[in-house]
Amino acid sequence: MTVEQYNKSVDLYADAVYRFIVKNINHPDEAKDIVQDTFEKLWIKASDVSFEKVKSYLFSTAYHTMIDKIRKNKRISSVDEYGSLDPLHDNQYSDLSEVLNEAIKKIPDIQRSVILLRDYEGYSYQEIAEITGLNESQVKVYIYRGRMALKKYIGSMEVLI
Amino acid sequence: MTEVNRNNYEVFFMDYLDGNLSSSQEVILQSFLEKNPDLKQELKTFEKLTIPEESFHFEEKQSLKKSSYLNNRLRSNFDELCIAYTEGDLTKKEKLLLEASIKNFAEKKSTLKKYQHTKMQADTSVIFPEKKKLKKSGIIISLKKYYSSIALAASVLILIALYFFIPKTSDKVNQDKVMLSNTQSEIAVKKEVDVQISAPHSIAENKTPAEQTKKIVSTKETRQETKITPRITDSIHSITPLPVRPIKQNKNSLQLADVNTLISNKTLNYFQQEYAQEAEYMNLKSFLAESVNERVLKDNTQEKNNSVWFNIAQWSVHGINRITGSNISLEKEYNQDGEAEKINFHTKFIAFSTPIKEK
Repeated sequence: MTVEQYNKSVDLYADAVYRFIVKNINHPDEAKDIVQDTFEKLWIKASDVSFEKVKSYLFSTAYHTMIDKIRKNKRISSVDEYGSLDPLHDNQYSDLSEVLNEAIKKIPDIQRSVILLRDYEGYSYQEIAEITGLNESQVKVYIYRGRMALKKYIGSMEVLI
Repeated sequence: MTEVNRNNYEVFFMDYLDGNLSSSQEVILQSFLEKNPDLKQELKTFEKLTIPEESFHFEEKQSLKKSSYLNNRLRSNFDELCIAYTEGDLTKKEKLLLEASIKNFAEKKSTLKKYQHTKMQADTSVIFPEKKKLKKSGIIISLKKYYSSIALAASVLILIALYFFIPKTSDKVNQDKVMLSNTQSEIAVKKEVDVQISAPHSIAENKTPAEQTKKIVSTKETRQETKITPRITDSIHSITPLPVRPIKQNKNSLQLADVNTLISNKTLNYFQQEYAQEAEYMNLKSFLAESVNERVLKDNTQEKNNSVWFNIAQWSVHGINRITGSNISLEKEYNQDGEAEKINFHTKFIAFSTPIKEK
């Protein structure tokens, strides 16, 4: 990859990577750090990463950097810790996207990550598996469970909107 | 059972009705029935108890049949189907079938709609504010693609260095050999004089000076073995006596006692002085080897290797591995007694093993 290609990658993918991370951890400053770390890693490996594969490399690196940070901050959560996804009915929502954005925060990290990769970036199961280090079946299961949880949340809220 | 009586007739009856009796048993049974008309009547009532065949039809049989895989999923896990629909995992035909199948079911339609609402849209208003900081100027130099070439060139250099500089035995042993060879020459010359003075009859036996010298050296070897260190002794074994030039005898200048004293005192004093010095001071090569072991290889516990060139080669390999990320190895192989037997050199491109004999 040339310097021009590297800088073009910044233009093309920095926003998407940032969006993916900030939606995952809901912390803009930490998300910025992760994006900077990710692009620093890309710069170091620039000679080994082709421009065609750079998007996948960036998302994969950002994802694993995020997981490391979460682990360091001991914020990793299991499914059990989330408990009930029953929405708090005293919240006021104006539209469905707000409900959905609220719901996505409440599902387990791994389910959220795979759904965001799927919906935001349109990655296939196989691509998501490569980025997250899971296998394809696991990706499908996490998406399935995530959608179930989101649907349950939306189902309750739709009545209120 | 070959005999029928009133105690076992029921079994015979059952077998008869099932058609399991042999012809001989049937004859026996008929004979028994003739003698017992009441039981004959009982058997007839059994024969009348046949249940007439009726035709039953399960009217919903068709509904149990599966028209497609989708139908099965529709019944078993509707949620899974809705998610597959949302994810775009269904074929066009399956999609249409699903839509048609839930057309009249409001609840199912609502469920499908909810799943479709879980699809998130990227919020494009979220942007990374410090994009300029991420950008770089300059050039990207890929050293990695040259690493294999560098490693290969370095391997060849090490190979050459090993070939030319690593001795088959240690430098010290070579020094011993040289030193002892010179000493032996001196001993041989002096002893010959001694023999010629004290035993003139030997000369009369027409032995050549060389033969006499061999004998003398052999005698001297035995004597030295008892007095000096085993290391020196081993070296002596490997010495080939040097040819000794005949020296004119001078009876007046040398006496037997003087010569013996001269040989023993001078030679042994010489050895003792040399090795005492060596124990007290390190020569340059030993110092280098020591330094490489301690500072570069950082292996103080490892057996100190007196071979300077081997250590330098190891240091080079270590450095090349660090720079290039390659996996070149240069190691000594030890036998059961802990003595170095071989040097093994291994790279991606070449590998060899050379025997060494280090005492």
